[in-house]
Amino acid sequence: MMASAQSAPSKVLATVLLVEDEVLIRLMAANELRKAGFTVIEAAHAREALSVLRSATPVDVLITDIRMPGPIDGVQLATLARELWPNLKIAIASAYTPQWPAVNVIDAFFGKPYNPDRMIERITELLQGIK
Amino acid sequence: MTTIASAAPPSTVLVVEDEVLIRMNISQYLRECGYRVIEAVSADEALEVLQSAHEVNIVLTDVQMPGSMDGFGLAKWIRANRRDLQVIMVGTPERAADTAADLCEEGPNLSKPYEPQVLADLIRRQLGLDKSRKMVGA
Repeated sequence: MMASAQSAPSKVLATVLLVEDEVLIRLMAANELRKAGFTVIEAAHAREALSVLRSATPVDVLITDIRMPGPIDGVQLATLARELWPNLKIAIASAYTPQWPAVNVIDAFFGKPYNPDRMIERITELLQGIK
Repeated sequence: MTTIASAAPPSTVLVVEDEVLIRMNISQYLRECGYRVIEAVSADEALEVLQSAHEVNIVLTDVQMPGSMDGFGLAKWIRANRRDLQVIMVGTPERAADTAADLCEEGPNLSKPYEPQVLADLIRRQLGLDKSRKMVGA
């Protein structure tokens, strides 16, 4: 398998927590992120994401879908994560532009379907401190 | 860390596990061993993957999972529909004892908790067995 065309995030060995309830979409997005050099942790819903964030596993970036099964949606997850882990970079990925009760909560928004190149570029920027 | 030394494309393991931290750790370990890993949180997700175009060589599934089907159900589906696939089942010793006959019928199994290295060795053996069978039949 050849390396991805986009440049790997040099010197940024970052871990991305990807929260997406559609398995084939999660698989595709996670594979693209891994090809770009990220370590990816997959979560199928907010409860799984919170288990990971509360564990000893370091996470640099949270990318979450909005509509997911379970009592917590992606906006609520992002809001909670911002409060509990202020250094975490947070992005929302959704087919729907949400009504923001929490526009200041996230660092990036990705429309769906995922555009992996755009997502990787923006995450790399965030990790480099580019707002 | 043992890696799979082969010029062949890496085998793909479908890991079916509803406990995220276990799934995360075992998936990461297997990736470091050189496998491609597809993660599924339920048998329903696993079926979606198996019915898609994604290639899978071996399935590691927890026995007890929420959803419309547990690990046994998934193993039986695979036996009926994808006989080319190896299946390794993982369960608690109690559950395994209750259903030893089923487990034997469905193939190798591991009791939780297990060492990742033990699993990696089992996967390698299973895939090796598969290759030798193909050679015999060739």
